[in-house]
Amino acid sequence: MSATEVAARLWRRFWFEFRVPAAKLNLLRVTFFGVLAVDQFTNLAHAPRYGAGGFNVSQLPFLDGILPVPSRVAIGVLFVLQAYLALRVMMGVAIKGSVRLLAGLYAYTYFISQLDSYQHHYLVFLLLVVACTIPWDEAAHPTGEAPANDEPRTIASWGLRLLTVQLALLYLWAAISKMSPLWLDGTALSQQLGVPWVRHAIEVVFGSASRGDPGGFAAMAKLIMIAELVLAVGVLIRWMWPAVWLIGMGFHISVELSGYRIGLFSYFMMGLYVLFLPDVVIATGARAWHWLTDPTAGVLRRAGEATRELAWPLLVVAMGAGAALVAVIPFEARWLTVGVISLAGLVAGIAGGRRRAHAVAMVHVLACALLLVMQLVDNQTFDYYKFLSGTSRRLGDEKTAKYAYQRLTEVSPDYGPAYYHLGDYARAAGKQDQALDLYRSAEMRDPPDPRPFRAAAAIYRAQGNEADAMSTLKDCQQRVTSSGDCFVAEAQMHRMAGRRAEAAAAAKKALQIDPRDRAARALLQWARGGGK
Amino acid sequence: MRWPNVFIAVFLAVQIVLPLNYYWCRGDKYDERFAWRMFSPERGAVCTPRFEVGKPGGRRRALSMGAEFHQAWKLSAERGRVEIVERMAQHLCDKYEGEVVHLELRCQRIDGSSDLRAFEDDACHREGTP
Repeated sequence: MSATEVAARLWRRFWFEFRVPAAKLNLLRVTFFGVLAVDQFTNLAHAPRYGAGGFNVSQLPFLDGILPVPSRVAIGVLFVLQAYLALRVMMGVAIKGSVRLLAGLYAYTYFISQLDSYQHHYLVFLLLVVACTIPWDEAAHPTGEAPANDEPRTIASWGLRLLTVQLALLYLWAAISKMSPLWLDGTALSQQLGVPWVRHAIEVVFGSASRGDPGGFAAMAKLIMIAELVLAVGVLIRWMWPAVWLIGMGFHISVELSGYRIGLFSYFMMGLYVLFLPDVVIATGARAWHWLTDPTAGVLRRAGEATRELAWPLLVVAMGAGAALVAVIPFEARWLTVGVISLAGLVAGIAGGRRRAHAVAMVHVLACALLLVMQLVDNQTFDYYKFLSGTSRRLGDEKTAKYAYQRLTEVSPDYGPAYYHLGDYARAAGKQDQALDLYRSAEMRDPPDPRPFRAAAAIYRAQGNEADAMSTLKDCQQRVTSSGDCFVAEAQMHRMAGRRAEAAAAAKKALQIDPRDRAARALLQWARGGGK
Repeated sequence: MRWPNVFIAVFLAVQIVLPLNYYWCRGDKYDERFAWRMFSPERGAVCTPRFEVGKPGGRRRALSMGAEFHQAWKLSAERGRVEIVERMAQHLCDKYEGEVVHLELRCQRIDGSSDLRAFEDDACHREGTP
């Protein structure tokens, strides 16, 4: 046999004879796409960054020339749609089309802007491209005969092998990047680690290893690099997988606990690590899962068969129910979101035919319900409007800022700063009474904020109503005990009226709360006759 | 089995060439995209971008980055990303038409050394900039 033939055989064996249990592939689908759904839905809060101030730099320079600056609404809708598609894949319906559409949409939202600078989002893009080649359907909906001797069904997938190779390359390059003096001497690691107990743990474990490394960071840094090299090799060698699982899970859990701001990177990696679980663990888990869910699955299957004639009406009802659930999410483009998600559901239902329509209908409603659950658990639209309002205010886009603050008062009526900023806009427009109403609304919210009190006092003072101004500041002093701002404001009022003793008393109270308050110090100095 | 071989080969080539590009070709070492350099020393650098505008030959005024760009872009600039800082300068050139835009980017590395990463007398009219 020639060397070429040997190489060809090895290549074929490495890529095309790579098999994993179907149950493992199913579990991987659930963990990876489950985390992806959460990641994309939580990205909704960051959508206001896109297009803010009319500025954008895409990941690839040529994209700036051919694509318009992305808008927050388009990106927001795409994030929610991607979360929906990921949930649908997770639940095993319309997998092939959903993965392809998801990969395409993800590519757009990642490459359109360098605002998304997470390395794991680049990794997810690559994995989604690879995921398009993985036979998820073969594992989720087996059509052939079951294997003999109760052997677990296995699936051959070169795409899955490519996924492990991608992980190997990631670890290899990560290790290579750490072969620099600033990493190896522990400087970079020490600077990046901010969690005190983690620093202490490193010091306790490695601090005595070397006299020149009292904090133990150099030893830890080298260990991390070695772990990455071991993982780079281990993910490619099947017999090493149990060790890879232990080292990798330990590594990524430690990274998560270390307080790095890396989004859901660790969760993605932990989700991918089900691939390295021993097959016996997967087989046991799969048997338990079937034992638990077979009765329900049987009922659903029979219900599906019984209602096959009603498949299309059921699909329409499901679209309506899904639309009603998504419409509850108070995103500014809610009807557009409802429209694209309904369209995605409808296309999947029609493409699946009458036989699959009831499954698509059920999963569509469940996916929409899960989107709503994610919104209720972690109010993304509140963050969306909060970021949108703050950004627009700083960039001088008054119209958008006012709109976002108004929406904030509807989405989260207890959020005081929204009323305060709306009050400022009303005051700037000369609508003093409206401003006072809004400031009063802000004053009643928790946590107490001195700014609306001070702003209201300023309006009263400008109107010549010193009594109400002083009364407002006194209210503030009672309610806002953590800030001396309203004592400073009172001292300033006394100063304008030339009342030195009262100004000194108020300034002293401000200094009791914050001894470093420079405005209070200056006022006290004036009150004692030392300042202008 | 022909197209999977092509797919695998292209995928692997991209995953080898892109990180190598960082080490061999990329001028901006703070631009670590596509190179899998998680937690690198470069990420720890703290940079201070500074933009000034003014009439040609006249007095320049410093611009507040927070009032010109979203906070996320400001953070990217503070990580020393030259491409982003230069694009910011272009954006300001369009906004303050007829004025000179001056940009400066000083970076402090984690070993204590510092460098002046970009400096142009007039970012609007230098070669290569529209």
